[in-house]
Amino acid sequence: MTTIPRVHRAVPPLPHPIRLGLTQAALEMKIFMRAKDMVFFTLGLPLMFLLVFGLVFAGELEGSDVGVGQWFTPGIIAASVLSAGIVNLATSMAIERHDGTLRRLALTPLPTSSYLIGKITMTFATAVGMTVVLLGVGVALFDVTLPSEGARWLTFGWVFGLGVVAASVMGIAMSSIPRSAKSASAVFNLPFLGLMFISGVFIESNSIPEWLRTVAGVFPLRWLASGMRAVFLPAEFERVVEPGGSYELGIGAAVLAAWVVVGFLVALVTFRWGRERRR
Amino acid sequence: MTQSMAIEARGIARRYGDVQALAGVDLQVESGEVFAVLGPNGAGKTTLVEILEGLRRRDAGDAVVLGSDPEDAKRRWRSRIGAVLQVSTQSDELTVGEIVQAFGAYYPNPLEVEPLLDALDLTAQRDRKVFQLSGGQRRRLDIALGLVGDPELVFLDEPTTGLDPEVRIRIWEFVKTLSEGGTTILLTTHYMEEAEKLADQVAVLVSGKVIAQGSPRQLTGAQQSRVSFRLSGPAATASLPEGVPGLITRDGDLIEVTTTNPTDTVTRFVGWATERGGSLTDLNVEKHGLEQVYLDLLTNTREETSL
Repeated sequence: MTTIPRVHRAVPPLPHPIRLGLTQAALEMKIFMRAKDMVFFTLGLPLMFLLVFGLVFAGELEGSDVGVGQWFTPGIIAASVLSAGIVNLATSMAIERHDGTLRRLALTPLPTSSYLIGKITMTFATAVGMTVVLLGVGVALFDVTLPSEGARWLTFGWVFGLGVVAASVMGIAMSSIPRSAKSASAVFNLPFLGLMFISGVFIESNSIPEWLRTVAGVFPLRWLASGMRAVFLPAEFERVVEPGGSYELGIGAAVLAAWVVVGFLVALVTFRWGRERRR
Repeated sequence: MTQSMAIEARGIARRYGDVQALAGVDLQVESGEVFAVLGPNGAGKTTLVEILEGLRRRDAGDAVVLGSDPEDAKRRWRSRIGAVLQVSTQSDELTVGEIVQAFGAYYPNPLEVEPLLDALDLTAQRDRKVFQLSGGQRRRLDIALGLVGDPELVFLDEPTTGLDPEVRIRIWEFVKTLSEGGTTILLTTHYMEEAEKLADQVAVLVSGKVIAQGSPRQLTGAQQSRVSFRLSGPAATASLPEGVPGLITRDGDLIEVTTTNPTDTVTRFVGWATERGGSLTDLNVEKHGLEQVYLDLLTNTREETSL
């Protein structure tokens, strides 16, 4: 039998950016999982919120059969999603920018898109990890009930997904702000904690001054929190607990999508491998 | 698709604030050659390399590296170069084998991890994490990462600075093997010995300018040798011949001549001493190595610039 000759490729093709992105994500995951203290404290943060609030305000919300764990869970999930992007992702990129990792990668054929796919996938995994641990402990210790209707899970899916992408591109955009690796956590904690307190995550939105609520309405966390409450709280709650008297999922989707676009554009402009650009 | 020139740079200039880091550097590196940029700390070596790698902008000048301007370089171009930076940074949580594997995945045609680690004497460290490595092992890991993509052109920025002599010699052997395989290598160093041992061509860079360029032999060839001998017999007390080129010093019967033509010096003195019934003993001819040439060049340049 004659052998059929191959098409000769003098130049082998470059690896596909998406495949490389997933390889990067696996690598990020491996690095994360090996830093045991980082795993513990990252996954422990939302859990700490639940434990503290769940124990301090033990019982049920006035005039309802909703437990305190059920009430805090959606806000904590929203905060976890945001922190996975604007704290965890932003810090890891700020460190890599300042310790020379990005400059070293700039000399390889790793495409920017693959690097960022790796980071965003890792952010997604971090947010999922925090949520799973939170829900697990919530169900076991704080009588948290998971939604049974498919529609609620659908809402959960898109709010969570859109939230992760928005938080990720914001984190990427913000990662250029710290002027050294040391200052990274100080720089990223402030906006996160600030948003957490004004966005109705722990404090009921209606007890926050209106002007502050307006400020919070510009940022994604307030909408992420409403979206999550729509998943975990009874439908009739929205008239009482929501600032607009409704979960306003449509507006939430629009605001989150706007942050994805804005964050993406800012990230495009500010992302630097550490190569100097032409004047 | 063979190009005879791997790097062609003309008039490369770069200024950082008040400091003129590079002041018009010309460089031609032929494919397959080992080219050393030799210079003291702060001479502009790293800036030059980073411009050629596409990491830094240049203020003026033209550069063509593997057929492209490094400022316009694309993924494909980066897959053809390898780089070993001066500063090494790797995640502490990964092992040597994992990091090399991960870097290899970025390239279209990577080298196999095991043989590469073997060639760099890192097989025993394959499962070690980076923070467990010694300085020399870390440096060899950097080199592995620069080479895993099987590059045509490798930039080695001070590959052996701060390493002990044994490791340095191992790295030299590795660079030689690499060069024999046809890889073009641009290395920077402030060790004269390193340039002399490894390089086909050397450019001496001082204060952002190339002050001498050529093969180690050319650079040392035009330079001075020192001829020394003792006179015996009647010649020992005779007055020295006139018109011998070079700088002659006499200390009793010990004569030292610094000259560019040692053969001529020896011939003249042998003839002269024989005529007077004497002879030359303890004859010693010493060629100044690249080290001496380099130090002379540095001294001259500093004198010129301080005027």
